[in-house]
Amino acid sequence: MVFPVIAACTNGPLEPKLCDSLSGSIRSQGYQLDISVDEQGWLRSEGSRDGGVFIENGIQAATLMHGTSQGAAGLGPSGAAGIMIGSLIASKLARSNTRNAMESEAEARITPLRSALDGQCWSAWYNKAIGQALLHNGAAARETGGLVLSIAPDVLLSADARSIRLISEIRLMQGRKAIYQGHVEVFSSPLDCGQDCLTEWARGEGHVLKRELIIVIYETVRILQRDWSTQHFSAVSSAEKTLRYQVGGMRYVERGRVLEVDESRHLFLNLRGWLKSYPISGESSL
Amino acid sequence: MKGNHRWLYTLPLFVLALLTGCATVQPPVAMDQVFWTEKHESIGVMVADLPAPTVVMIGQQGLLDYAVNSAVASGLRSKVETWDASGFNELSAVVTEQLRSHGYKVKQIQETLDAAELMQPKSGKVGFSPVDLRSIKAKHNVDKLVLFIPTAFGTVRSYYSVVPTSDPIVQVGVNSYVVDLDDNRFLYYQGQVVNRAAEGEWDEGPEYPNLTNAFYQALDAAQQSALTPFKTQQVSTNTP
Repeated sequence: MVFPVIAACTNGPLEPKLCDSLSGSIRSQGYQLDISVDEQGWLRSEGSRDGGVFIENGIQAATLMHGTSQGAAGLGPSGAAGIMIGSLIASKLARSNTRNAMESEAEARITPLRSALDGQCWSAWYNKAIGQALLHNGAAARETGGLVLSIAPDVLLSADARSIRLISEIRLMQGRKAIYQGHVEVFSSPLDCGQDCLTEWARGEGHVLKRELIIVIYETVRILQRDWSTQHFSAVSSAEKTLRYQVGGMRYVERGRVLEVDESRHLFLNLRGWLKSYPISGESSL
Repeated sequence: MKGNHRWLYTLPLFVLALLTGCATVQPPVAMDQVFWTEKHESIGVMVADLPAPTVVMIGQQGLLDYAVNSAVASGLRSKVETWDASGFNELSAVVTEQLRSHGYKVKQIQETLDAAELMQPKSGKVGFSPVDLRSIKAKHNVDKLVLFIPTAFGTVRSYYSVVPTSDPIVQVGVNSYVVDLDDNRFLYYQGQVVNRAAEGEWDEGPEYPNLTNAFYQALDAAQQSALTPFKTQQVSTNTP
């Protein structure tokens, strides 16, 4: 198995893609670096995944529809069709409202930190940090090159605000064709921050946040290079299992295959083919 | 004369009793401290047979609606039926180890029992197991039984007619019991259901990675929840 999924670019979740001749292409052509940072939304907070709310809202929506259809009895086929279309729209709206409510809750949690870090040019900061990490790993970007390495970083603050997760969507473009697509997530070690973690992250114009970000950026670049050189870890044949790990006060459970374990971190491949790395002290059992 | 018909006033109550007499609802039972204090007694730990993961469709649907919805959900059902819930059996070993670390005599038990009757008894005394479990005492030489019955594995989605009114939500349920095998009395009973939504899009057949991942997360959360009463000894067993 050379790589798990080959897919054309879509607007949906990124699917890993890797061409056989990747290493050769990078060596011969080199690449330019293109970092795209959403200055407003690069920092987000984890949200709740409580499914009970969705079931409850679904039942309420069904009851509401039942009431509407009873009221519209005797309207004939066109009326029934109208009710059906209206029901579909109402149902979609109800589901999207539930998701929006959960996202708003997460958004409210992160707003104070975002405000504290406002006014800094994060694009330039990421460009420099990622450029240095690539240089450190012997894969420096060039001013000009046949390929373009495009990285979109996104940071997720844990619900307990003690750790961050750098989520990077990475594409290596040859003209308009993506010869590599990858999704890498790296968890930071938890911060020892007592009750007021947001203040700690923001301290010194985000000094603490930047310090942790540099660590996870270096790990992301290391994983990216391993992904390229191992053809998406094609030689690893570990079995799929439930992985449990603790980072700060948060417990994470995910199905996947362990790829590498070293003295400080675990690296695994999840069901989507995404690469995830977490600090080894975070391993948890049932 | 009027007084002779007073019994008629009790008729509605009698009818109500007849109608509801078929079902006994067992309320939760907090852990009886006897469980912790009787350290000399031995404890058996058991997980009942696991139900196969399935797709459940709830809400107001006619027969035709149900058939349509069922056909539309066939792809998801195929995937859900491959979900491996066997990890749930780990509960037995973990609880055994947990109790042993507190100095209790514990053994794992494998036995078949009528889980359906235990969960939805047609009759019986509240606070007591409707299924006679006393034979386990002699057979396995244990005084108390810690029993986990998985009640739901799979997804739930609500509908109105053929209109889905929610996304499929992963659901894992477990009932936890501690039974005194001298008299079938519940020393502990708690039922719980974990509902978990997929992180991101759910509708990505045929593999449904986000929903599949949510299942294993829910399975773990249900196990964690079932383990909680056995993790910390609630009272000191030291005699003053």
